[in-house]
Amino acid sequence: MTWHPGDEALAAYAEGTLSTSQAWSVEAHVAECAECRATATGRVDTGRLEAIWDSTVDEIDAPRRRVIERVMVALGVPDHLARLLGATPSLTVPWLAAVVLVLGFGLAMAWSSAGEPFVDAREALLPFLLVAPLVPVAGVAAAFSRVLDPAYEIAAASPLHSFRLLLIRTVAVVATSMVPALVMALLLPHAGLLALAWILPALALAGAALVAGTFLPPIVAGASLGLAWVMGVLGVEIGPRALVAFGWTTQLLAAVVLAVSAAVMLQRRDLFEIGRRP
Amino acid sequence: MDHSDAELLAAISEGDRTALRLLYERHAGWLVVRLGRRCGDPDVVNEAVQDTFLAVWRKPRAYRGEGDPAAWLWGIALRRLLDRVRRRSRWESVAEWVHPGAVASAEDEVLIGVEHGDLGAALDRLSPELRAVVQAMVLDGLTVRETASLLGVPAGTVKTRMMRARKQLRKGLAT
Repeated sequence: MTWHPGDEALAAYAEGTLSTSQAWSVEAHVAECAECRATATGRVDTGRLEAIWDSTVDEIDAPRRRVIERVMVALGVPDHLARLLGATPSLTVPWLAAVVLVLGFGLAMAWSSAGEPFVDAREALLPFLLVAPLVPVAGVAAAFSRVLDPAYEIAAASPLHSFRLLLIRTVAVVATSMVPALVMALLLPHAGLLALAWILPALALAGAALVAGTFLPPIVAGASLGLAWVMGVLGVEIGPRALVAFGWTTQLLAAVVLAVSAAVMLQRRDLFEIGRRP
Repeated sequence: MDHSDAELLAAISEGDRTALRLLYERHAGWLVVRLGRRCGDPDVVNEAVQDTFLAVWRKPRAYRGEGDPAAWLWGIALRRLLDRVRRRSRWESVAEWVHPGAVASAEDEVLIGVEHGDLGAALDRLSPELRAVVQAMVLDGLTVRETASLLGVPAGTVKTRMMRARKQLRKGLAT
């Protein structure tokens, strides 16, 4: 390059004191000329440049947001909440994949035995209906376990009202577990209303697990309730009438359990304020 | 200053942070100046420069080895600036987005410029609002919509300002 604006013009350009036409022509040159770029760069406050560099490095070292977190932020969820929810073990993609896989087995079994002779079509639904209510309860247990929850420390120190945080996380976990379950339930063969028979038991189990989690470690609470559910259903299903465990009695019972759990949680909400978490 | 920008970018794609630092030292300064002429808020400019080098660090292979890496960096920086400005409130006053120095001296420049008939003087005589539009659309090649979000004014205003600027420049050249 033969023509250069000269140090004075470059300095004035960097300081923003050139007239528009001069600044534009200097800028057009600076865009092309490494030498003059260096001169102009030398005129910029080094403190400012170091500050930008530091924040850039901070950003590089910060853990990258999970996809789910970015989706939440895009949907208008506040930053800190998105991070907490994003760190919930039962809100990760592997978790959802596991849910889909497990329920997929139930669905596959329902379909594979649906066409066979001598098999009650309703009986074929049992594996799915048995497993589906376990999904939210497992999610809740994992979300509030100290062992599995990478955000335990953050949540414990969170400026949010802990009870509110608990509700937010629970709703998020239950909702994300139940949506795939619901979609797959609708794919069950010849199910009719039975396709929805797992929903109330699922909510009841999750609610009961939250309550039990205030006495027991969440994993223990969740596992015992899940076990109790499986044993109960299988115990009833030994009888001659298929899917009797998913009749109106169970639904009613589940509704009662859900209501009682909600009431107990409200009663015990203060418990979450003194540092103990379920 | 031994390594070329392209070599530095290749090193960055291997995860070499020293290379990023060298690239930063070479380019952050003029990017700050050039972005600063498009946005009066230094915080937004800082964020845009940070975003630029973050993008370089994460996707150094986006540079395909064609053309000047500096021009490639400028392209990223300008987009990041637009992003950052969009994220800020749209309702901030226009004056803030125009270069602060330019605002103060605009009227003097109009008076001084009257005696000259060349393009430079015609440019200098434009009001800061019109100048900002010409800079964004002609120099930076932004669309009307992008210019509107950069300057924080409606797209219709950008169009009318561009028309007014053209008219003024034409008149300035004719005298």
